[in-house]
Amino acid sequence: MKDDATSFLPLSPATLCILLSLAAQELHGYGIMQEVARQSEGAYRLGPGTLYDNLQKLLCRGLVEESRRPADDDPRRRYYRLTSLGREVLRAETARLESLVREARLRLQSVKPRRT
Amino acid sequence: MLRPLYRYVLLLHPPGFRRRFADEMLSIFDQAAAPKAECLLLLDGLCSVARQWCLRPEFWGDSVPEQKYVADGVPSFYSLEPYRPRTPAILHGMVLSVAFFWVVCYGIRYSWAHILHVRIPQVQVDTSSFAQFGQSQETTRFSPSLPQARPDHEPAVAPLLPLPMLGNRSTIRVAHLTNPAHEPLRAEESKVSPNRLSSSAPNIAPRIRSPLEDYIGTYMVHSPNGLRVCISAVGGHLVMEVDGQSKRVLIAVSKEMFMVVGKQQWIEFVRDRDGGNRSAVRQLRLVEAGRLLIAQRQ
Repeated sequence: MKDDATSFLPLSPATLCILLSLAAQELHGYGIMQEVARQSEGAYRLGPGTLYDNLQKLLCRGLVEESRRPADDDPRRRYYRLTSLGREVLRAETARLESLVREARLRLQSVKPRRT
Repeated sequence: MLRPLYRYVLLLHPPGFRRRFADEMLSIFDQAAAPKAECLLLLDGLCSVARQWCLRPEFWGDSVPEQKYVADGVPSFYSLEPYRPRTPAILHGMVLSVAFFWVVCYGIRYSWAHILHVRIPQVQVDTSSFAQFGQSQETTRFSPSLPQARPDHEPAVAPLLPLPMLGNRSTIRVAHLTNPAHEPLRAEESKVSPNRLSSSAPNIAPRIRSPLEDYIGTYMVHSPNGLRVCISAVGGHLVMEVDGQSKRVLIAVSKEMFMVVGKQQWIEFVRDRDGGNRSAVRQLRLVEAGRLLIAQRQ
């Protein structure tokens, strides 16, 4: 499973944002767009074209699956959730980014400004 | 105002993408309040069209199986995968199917055009002995090698001789009922010279008979008038000739019963067991208007 997860890395920013938005709860397309905007504090906004293009790829790869829609919701909406593989991929990407951030911090700490 | 245009843009997407996401994208467009947001969504839709057609050829069809849910939330099971073969694969399959169909048809035609000829060794047709004398009779003979010559009035019935290769119990019986070319005459039997019979006897001996031979002959009614009934075979049909009357064709109703064409007459051939497997016709019963005439074979 872990080897399968690492084969998807590195993730594109849009894919990472979508997986992150779905990590906590099941969302429909518009909810994913809102969640991505919220997580990035409005700095990154997904358009429907980009969102569904990435969702199509994630569905095809088995990282995301469609879930049941609440009965009282708009029938045009579809809800999506992470699969176990998608969660594993997100975990592996997070670990990769953590190591990358750690490495970046070490590099930044080793280069200390000289006092003149 | 931009909604119809956005719907048109959604229609320009590949079929698989459109079927799966167009409704939801339109619902997102409906939630956009400001005209500026609508314009951005329209621009995003145009970019999506170009991206899907140029960069995502693998998603032009139904690449993602659509998951169905029933009312209680338990996913239903697929009986068949929503798989659609590629268009080139369909075309190739069509070409292969047509080629295979053509080969099968050609094979069937070839088998019809070529008749398998089975050659039976040691059976030779002596065509030189075939000749026609006046009224032809249905007697097919292969080889003049008869055990003995018979008189003309005796019907051309000869015992079936066994083929050496097939054993003593095997016989060949062929009836040429419709081919006039294979109608030798009974009368020619008497014209075959004894020398020829004796010389050809060691070579081959089978005699292939027509089933009509059983009936051919002369039948006499034992009465003061002495009525004579001649049964012959012409063109694959039995023909009856009564003294003083014209010839009449007989139509077989059964193996023993015949109907006289053009007259309200019936003929029944009565066979007598001769002690062997075969039975010979010994009697003729002519039924006409409730009157029965019995004629014995001569």
